Amino acid sequence: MKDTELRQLMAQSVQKCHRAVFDNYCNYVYAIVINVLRSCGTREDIDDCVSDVFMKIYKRFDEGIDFSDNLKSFIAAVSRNTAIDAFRKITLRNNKNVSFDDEDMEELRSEEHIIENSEKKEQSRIIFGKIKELGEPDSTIIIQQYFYNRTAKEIADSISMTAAAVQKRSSRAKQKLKALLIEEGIGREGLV
Amino acid sequence: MNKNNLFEGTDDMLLDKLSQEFPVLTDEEKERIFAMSERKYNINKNNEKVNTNYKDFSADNEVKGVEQYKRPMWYKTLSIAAAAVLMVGGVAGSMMLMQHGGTRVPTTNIEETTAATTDATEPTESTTEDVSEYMAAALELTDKLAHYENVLYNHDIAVDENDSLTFTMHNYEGKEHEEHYVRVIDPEIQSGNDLKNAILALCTDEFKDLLYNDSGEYDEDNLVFNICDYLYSSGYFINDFSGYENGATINNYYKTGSFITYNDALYVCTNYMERDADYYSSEPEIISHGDDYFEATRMTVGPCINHFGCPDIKVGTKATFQFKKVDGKWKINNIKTGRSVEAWALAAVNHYFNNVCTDYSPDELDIRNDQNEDGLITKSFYDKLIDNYRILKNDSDNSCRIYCIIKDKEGKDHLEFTADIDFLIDDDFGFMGDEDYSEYFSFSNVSIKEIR
Repeated sequence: MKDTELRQLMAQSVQKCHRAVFDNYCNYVYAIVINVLRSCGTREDIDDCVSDVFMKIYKRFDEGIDFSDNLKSFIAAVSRNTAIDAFRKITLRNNKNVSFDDEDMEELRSEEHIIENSEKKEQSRIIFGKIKELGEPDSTIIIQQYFYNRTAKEIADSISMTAAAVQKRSSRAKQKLKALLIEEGIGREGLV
Repeated sequence: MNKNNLFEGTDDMLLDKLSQEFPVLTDEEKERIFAMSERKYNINKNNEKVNTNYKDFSADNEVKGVEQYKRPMWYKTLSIAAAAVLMVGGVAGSMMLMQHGGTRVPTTNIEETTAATTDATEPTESTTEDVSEYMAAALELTDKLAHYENVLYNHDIAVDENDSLTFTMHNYEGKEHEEHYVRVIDPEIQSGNDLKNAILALCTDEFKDLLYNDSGEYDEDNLVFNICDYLYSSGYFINDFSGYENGATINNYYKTGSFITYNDALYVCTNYMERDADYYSSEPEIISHGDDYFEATRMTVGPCINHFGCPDIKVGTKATFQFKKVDGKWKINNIKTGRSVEAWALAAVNHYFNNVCTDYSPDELDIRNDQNEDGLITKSFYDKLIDNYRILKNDSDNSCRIYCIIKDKEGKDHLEFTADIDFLIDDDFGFMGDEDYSEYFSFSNVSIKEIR
């Protein structure tokens, strides 16, 4: 979606604009948010955070900021920052020792971690590729189970299978994925 | 497999790809999150407005009873701003309140219509069951209605400002004034009929009949949304100015209209043009449903509903929308209005100082209607309160918390009144003021502070 389309929609109706932006980006925002909150947040926390993201985005629209062709980047940045804020709140609430404080942020910016992050990015690309290699419905089962934290029943509902069948396929797909990742040299402890 | 490590380091580009190739949200989840985001946005927007005026006011620090305190500085600003609003809206407001005799809550009618439209389908009380289909339909149809009404009332439609027309018109007194028109470029609405048909397409045939009957008159009691004022009033869409040169003088004030056609194109008058006017202060709430029928309520602050002239409406009036499935599509089957929270709250304040409060006599306060020797009301209680109050919170149109400044007989700010008010009954009655409305209101958490 381009800024000009956004303006046209805003001119027609604010609600229409909100709806269009939501429909276009809800899956993307959800993916960014769950990627940050997966380890600590409940489903409600994640939904709450995603709705916060869109509320903030709508508010920025009201300010009439020119996004040119950077709307997607802007949405990604708002999603990430809101999710990190939510992560801090949730971990505080849960009294977990996990933190995402300024020191961590600073550490993440260090050269060493830039290299490490870039390696992780490359690794996650390979993992994603290997998951896709599993073929359907196994790819969807693994992504829904391990990325989106969905239950076997929810996955079963979405792909018209029984929960028991999903669990069985998941177990086999996991073994298959493990073998594929070892082939690629990605088999470090804790990952597979 | 460790799910937290497996996707560690996933960057935005990959997340984008993953979200596109493996979207996970169901329609129901999307609707829920969208409704949540809209609700937060509206609350945030309203809070910002309230906070601007009430930044120094803290309801949590109130002390019950009577105490002395200094008037906060912000109040002066509020009074000036509110007085300006009053000048344009207050008089009209009081006239409407007195003439119409308060808001109408035709609950009996709603039940009757429900029975007529549901046939064998028994309406179900909403609990936690899945109402996403109803919610989505209610959102879509009420938002569309709001959009078209904003087009009609606020001329809020996409235009090309570079394609404009100006005519000099004569009003009924013969005085000249200029009317400016700009070309409508909304592809959906290119004629008056497009707009009329777009609105009517949202409605069932029964509702269309209510909007406009064969005798050419609409039933005002059945319709608080003033769609028909615009759809059917003569001269609204019919004026074709193609016969006049741009810039010409038109010696016929009857030809003044909000929309005109010119060389087969639609133009809208730039007067009263307002963008993105608020229309609702809440999301739809599904209150009953069946297979081919449901009802939803939504608090409306839109211009096309009668809020009895209250300016700066934030909570508004409850509208109950009835929807019916026709040929597989949901349509609006009726719209009824409930209480205007602001109007009821002000009537409650009048009642409190007339009948409940024992610390102050209403004779000391400027709270009652002013009457002339013939007993005619010259200034209503409503006009006296309307520029000095805010609804701090509300539960639909069932209850609210109000903050209000009460003046003394010299017109000086005398009391700060804050209270939770429950609206007890549904009834069709008029708030004339200075009467005992005990059966209508109950008060709690009352705080009265003297201002000096």
